[in-house]
Amino acid sequence: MPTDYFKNLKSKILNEVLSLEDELGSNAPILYNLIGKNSYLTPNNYFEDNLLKIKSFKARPTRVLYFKVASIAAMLLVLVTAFWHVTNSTLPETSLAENEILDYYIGNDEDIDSDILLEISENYEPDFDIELANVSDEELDIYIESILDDLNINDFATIDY
Amino acid sequence: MPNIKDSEILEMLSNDKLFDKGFEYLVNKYQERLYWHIRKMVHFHEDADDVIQNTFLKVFKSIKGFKSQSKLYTWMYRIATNETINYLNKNKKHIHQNMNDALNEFENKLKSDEYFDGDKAQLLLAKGIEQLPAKQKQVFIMRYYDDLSYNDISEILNVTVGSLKASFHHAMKKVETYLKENVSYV
Repeated sequence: MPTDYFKNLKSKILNEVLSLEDELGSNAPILYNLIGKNSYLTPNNYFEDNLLKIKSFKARPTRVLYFKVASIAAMLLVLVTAFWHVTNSTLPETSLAENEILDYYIGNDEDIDSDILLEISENYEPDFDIELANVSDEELDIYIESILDDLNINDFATIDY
Repeated sequence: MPNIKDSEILEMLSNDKLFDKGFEYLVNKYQERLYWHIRKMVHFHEDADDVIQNTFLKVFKSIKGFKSQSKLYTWMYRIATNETINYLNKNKKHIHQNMNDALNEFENKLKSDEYFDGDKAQLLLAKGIEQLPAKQKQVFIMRYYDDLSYNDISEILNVTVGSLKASFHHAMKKVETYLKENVSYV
């Protein structure tokens, strides 16, 4: 039996049965009069539709992970290409700004909503042929290793092949 | 859908073959309750819809780790509350605004919302709650709208019952005073 069980029992029961009406009582008559009035509405059949939306979750984690990996991969490719440009040519101002944004996303991917990453990955259409042509095999190996390092073995278990 | 016990839902969720059905029961049983809890915090349907999706996504991902040390619905309430707070923090705007400007903007937005059908008193009540500090607002909503007992709120927020009573009392006084001060507009 927990310590002080009987000592605390009375207050525990009182906390359960103390009604809101008792508590508001004469202290807050206006609030008392407004109890139970709901002024918020939902679209028609919202909860029925919502149930269907939520039922589709089964496929969602895999999809999010796939796009997360894809978006990180795409962004890293751009970064590697940008790095190559920095070391081999003068970088225009716009590319620097893009790099900063990419740095931010890559460095904070844990804190960024997966939907944002999903959106980025969907909007971003890299020309892999051109970009890969600029990347050496060694850089590509480093990049692939860095992605694999970030992935947990459990992540692979959730991917549908 | 049948009125199914939490223990039966949890049993289904622990069985891979029955998981989908169990999750459907879980959503069906709790979605409205959680939705209204979230909605009272965020006020607008579109925001509540986002948060309820995130909440159930999180429940979906972590239900297998649920240890039954707390009640199922208090565990989900905790997730919903945390998701709501994260959502509000993420979407916090106009930090530079003073409270009156922020409340006026809030009032105009609520008035023009197609999913708000309150009279002046209810609009005033929403404004009164909106001006509360975040912690008091949570406690006030759980007690006033959700009618949860202090023991349950204590389990959800991991705060002592004494502290919750004090928070609710302060919040109640502030909202009542706000309503009284603006009663001529009602």
